[in-house]
Amino acid sequence: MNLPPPKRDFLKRQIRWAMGRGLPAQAAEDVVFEAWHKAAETFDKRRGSFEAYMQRIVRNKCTDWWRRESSVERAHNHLRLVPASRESRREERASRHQTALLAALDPSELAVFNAWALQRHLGKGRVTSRDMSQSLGMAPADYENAKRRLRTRIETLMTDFGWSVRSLLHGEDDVEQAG
Amino acid sequence: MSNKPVESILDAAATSDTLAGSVEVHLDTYPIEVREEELALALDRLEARIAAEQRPRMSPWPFLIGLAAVAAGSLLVLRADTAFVSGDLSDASPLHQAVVVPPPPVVVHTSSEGLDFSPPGRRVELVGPAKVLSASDPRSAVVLVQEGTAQTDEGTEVEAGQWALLTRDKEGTAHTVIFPDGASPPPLSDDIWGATEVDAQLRAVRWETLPERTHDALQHLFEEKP
Repeated sequence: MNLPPPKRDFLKRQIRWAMGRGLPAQAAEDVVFEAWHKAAETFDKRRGSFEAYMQRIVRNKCTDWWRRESSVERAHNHLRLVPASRESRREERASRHQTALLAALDPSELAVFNAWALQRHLGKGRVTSRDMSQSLGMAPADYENAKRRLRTRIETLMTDFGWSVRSLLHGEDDVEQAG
Repeated sequence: MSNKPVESILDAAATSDTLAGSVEVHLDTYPIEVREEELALALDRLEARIAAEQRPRMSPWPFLIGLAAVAAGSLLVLRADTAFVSGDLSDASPLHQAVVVPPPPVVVHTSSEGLDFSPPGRRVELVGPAKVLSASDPRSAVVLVQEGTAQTDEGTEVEAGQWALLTRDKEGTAHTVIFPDGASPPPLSDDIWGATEVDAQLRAVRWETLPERTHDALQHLFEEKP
């Protein structure tokens, strides 16, 4: 590793970007450090600048970070003794339903849905309702009202589509939509 | 999973690729606000880790040879003192005066209580069962976590196998440097840290980590010198 150390401003941008994805400061620091380590070991000048290469690694590591966080939980919650093909069909069905649900929300509702999901997942004292309302450029009270409206909207859509939560999330007890 | 349907769907955003993908696109547009003070601390720690990684690994041999030289020097000074019964150290060379300065006190800490370094006005808590070694002077303190986890007063976690260097500058701002055991510490600015004193503390704590039989072996080595 004979490369000069990355510039402080560059490292700061990487940590800021990672923390902006909801990573706690310590996790963001670890991700950027691991990215620097990997970049320093595998960098090839023909690939462009070191910083651009390292930034790509940081972004790859951050993508899905919060999903990986729950991968163990997912494994425990979703392991079932069912044939793979049957499970796959269910997952496809669930994914279709979820795509349809998200598509039925207007952009502002979708933003609130995603912010609320992040808040619930990253919460635990790390990300507050106020943080999420700020990220959306909303007053905290407006954000809380938007969440209440979204709850009603999702319940209405579920009724309209004829889906249960199980069918939406796991493709079970599915009621196929006519048309 | 929550009993409420909407909460169940929201929680599934962490486990469903479709919903998670939606949240990730959302984050591109609406990043979460960053707490600047946390970012600054993370940046300091990251720079220290990278600097430590880039410096050549410290071999134990120069350290042991250095210790042997210092100890041998001490013995020589003691013998010189004996020879000049009424003499004082003002006659000794600066080198000899340096080697008879007692090392900073080292505290082996294994209880569940924290360590107070006052001055320089810093504190370290042990997170659960932990074993740490520490040394301090009025300006700075060094801590080596051998088992468990410790946490500094400004919230930085120090895990087993890591050193923490702690100080407080003239304005009262706390400075913390973390680096892995086995690596050299990053460069320390003299105006904040007093690198010589930190180095002495590091060596004193390192000495305490050596096994008893190594201490004995070194002692025999010194005693056998003519």
